[in-house]
Amino acid sequence: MGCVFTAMVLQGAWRTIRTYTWEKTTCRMLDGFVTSAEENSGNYEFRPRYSYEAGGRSRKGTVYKPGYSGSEKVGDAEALKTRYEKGAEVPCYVSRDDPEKVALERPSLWTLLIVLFPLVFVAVGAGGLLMTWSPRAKPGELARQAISRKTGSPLQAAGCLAAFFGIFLLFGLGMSLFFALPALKVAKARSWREVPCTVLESNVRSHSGSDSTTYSVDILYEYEAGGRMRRSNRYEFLGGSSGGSSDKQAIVAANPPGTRRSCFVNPDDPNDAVMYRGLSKTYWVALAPLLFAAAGAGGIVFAFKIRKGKPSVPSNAAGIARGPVKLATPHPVAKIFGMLFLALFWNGITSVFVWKTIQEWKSGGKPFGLTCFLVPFVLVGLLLIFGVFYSFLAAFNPRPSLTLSSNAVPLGGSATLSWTFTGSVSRLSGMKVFLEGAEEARYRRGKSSHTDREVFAKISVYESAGGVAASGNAEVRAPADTMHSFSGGSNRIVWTLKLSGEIPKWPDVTESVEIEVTPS
Amino acid sequence: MSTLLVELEGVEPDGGKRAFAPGGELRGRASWTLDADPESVEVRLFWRTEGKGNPDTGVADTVAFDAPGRQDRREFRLKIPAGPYSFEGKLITILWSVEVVAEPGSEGGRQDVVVSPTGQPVRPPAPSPVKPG
Repeated sequence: MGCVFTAMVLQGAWRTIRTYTWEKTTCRMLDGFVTSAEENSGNYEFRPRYSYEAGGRSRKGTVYKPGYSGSEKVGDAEALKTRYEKGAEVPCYVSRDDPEKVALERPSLWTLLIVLFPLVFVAVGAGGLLMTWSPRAKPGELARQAISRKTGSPLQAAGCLAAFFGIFLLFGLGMSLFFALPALKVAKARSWREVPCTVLESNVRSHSGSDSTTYSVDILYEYEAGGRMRRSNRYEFLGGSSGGSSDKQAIVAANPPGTRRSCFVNPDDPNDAVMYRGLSKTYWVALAPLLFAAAGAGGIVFAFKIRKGKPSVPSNAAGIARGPVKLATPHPVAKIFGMLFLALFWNGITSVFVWKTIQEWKSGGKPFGLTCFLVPFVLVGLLLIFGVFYSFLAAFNPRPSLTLSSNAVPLGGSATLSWTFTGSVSRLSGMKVFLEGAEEARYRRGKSSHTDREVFAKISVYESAGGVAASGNAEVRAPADTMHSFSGGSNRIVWTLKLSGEIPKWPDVTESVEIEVTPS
Repeated sequence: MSTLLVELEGVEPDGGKRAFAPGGELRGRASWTLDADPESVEVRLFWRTEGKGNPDTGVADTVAFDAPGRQDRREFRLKIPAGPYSFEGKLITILWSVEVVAEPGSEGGRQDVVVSPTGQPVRPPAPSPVKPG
């Protein structure tokens, strides 16, 4: 498929390249006008007529640029009409092989970059075939191969993870540009000249896609600028189309043909005009790509953060022990913001599809399949919103400050855990502290990464008999016959101190913090 | 076809792997017969993981031999670190090996060993209820 697409694109590219062998000459503009493009595209097209000398006689041409099919904005076509005014002598290009082939402009060579797109498919396909056909090592040969250098370094792994999140960041920033650039124009247009304009045509234009239809406001108006009447069909700076036609219908209804109102003209370019120079509510959609970009940036930071110190070769406690150390637990406000970010990210993306589905129901469609598909996503979103409220309530809990007598507990050894509560500790009806040992294995399934966890030890450290004192301490013992902490990159042995304090009819106090258990 | 072998000092248990204490020293001999003159030959002591997760590898110590011949035999000493211990869990297995590797080429000769204070890989007990420390 990639080869077929590449062949088609190359054919078009070759036609573009050939125009650069055409001879440059001078054409005299006879006239030119702006009209609706053919094939109901809704575009506006500049149609020139000019004369030129070629092959020993005078000829007439009507092509502006090979492949030109007009523009959605009438202002673009009007600008061409201004540039190629009647009687002007302008440069043009004539084919050396066929003097009937002529154009005022040649297609940009930048369009040749489009050939890279199908080449990606070709590369993926060729890579797949190479992997399928490449000779595999026989079992005996495999056993003889060196394996101590097979896996990539942690830096490579972090780089791969960062590259993955980099796609999110670039996609988010790229999509944000669609909103940022018009928003910049909105700011610039504050200084544009206000002129009276008259609406000539007013419609809601529909754009049929493969699975849905989107709509845009299409109001054609005329205004006077630069000493003559000009036309534009730009309603606002944010171009494109979106689902839901009711808001667009309302704008069109408020501006029927014949309406006289104010428009705004760029003082540097009289063909550059806009009817509404404010920020419409559609700009809120810009938050979705910004969330993507934020998730991408966060992921890159996370990738290089987990790379630090991995893989760590364990030392025995004598080599690294120091203390006492305060065990860092996340601040309640950080928990709220973490949960809030998750809820906003998840619900931000889900809401785009929910909104689209609601619009389809409103416009008479029956998207049962999409609605059923969205239900679990909405439920997870509601759960995350519940999580935000839960973590908010938990922020008012008494908060323990934990200190361990040593940063490393050796196998067969112990350390003293001390705690001090701030806040209303009398609300706690009981408290438990235990040390948990677990295996964590991260692996790839398809395109996503998963981590499985298996607890292999749960050792009680402290359990209150009745109420809870504002401070206390207990011995944390690591058995001699178990496994120490280990971090290989994708595989970890983790030891976690877990504290839970019960508060009747309220979110419990829960804290967990990893500690280092070292070889004996 | 090239042949690379690692022999380790010490008693080899029947059908089992040689065991070494963490923090100790490991001695042995590497011998090889190669198809072409090698650029370098070295012995590596390394751990690797097997199991559900993506495989991880870490080289703990390396000895590179000076002017290695096409057919040669050299003695080596490798320092064993404090950890990780050999481990057989539900999700993760940590294995230790000594490997002789010749460059260029991808062939190697390997001998698996156990690194643990008890001479056996650490095997966590089946999940049990909370027990006192």
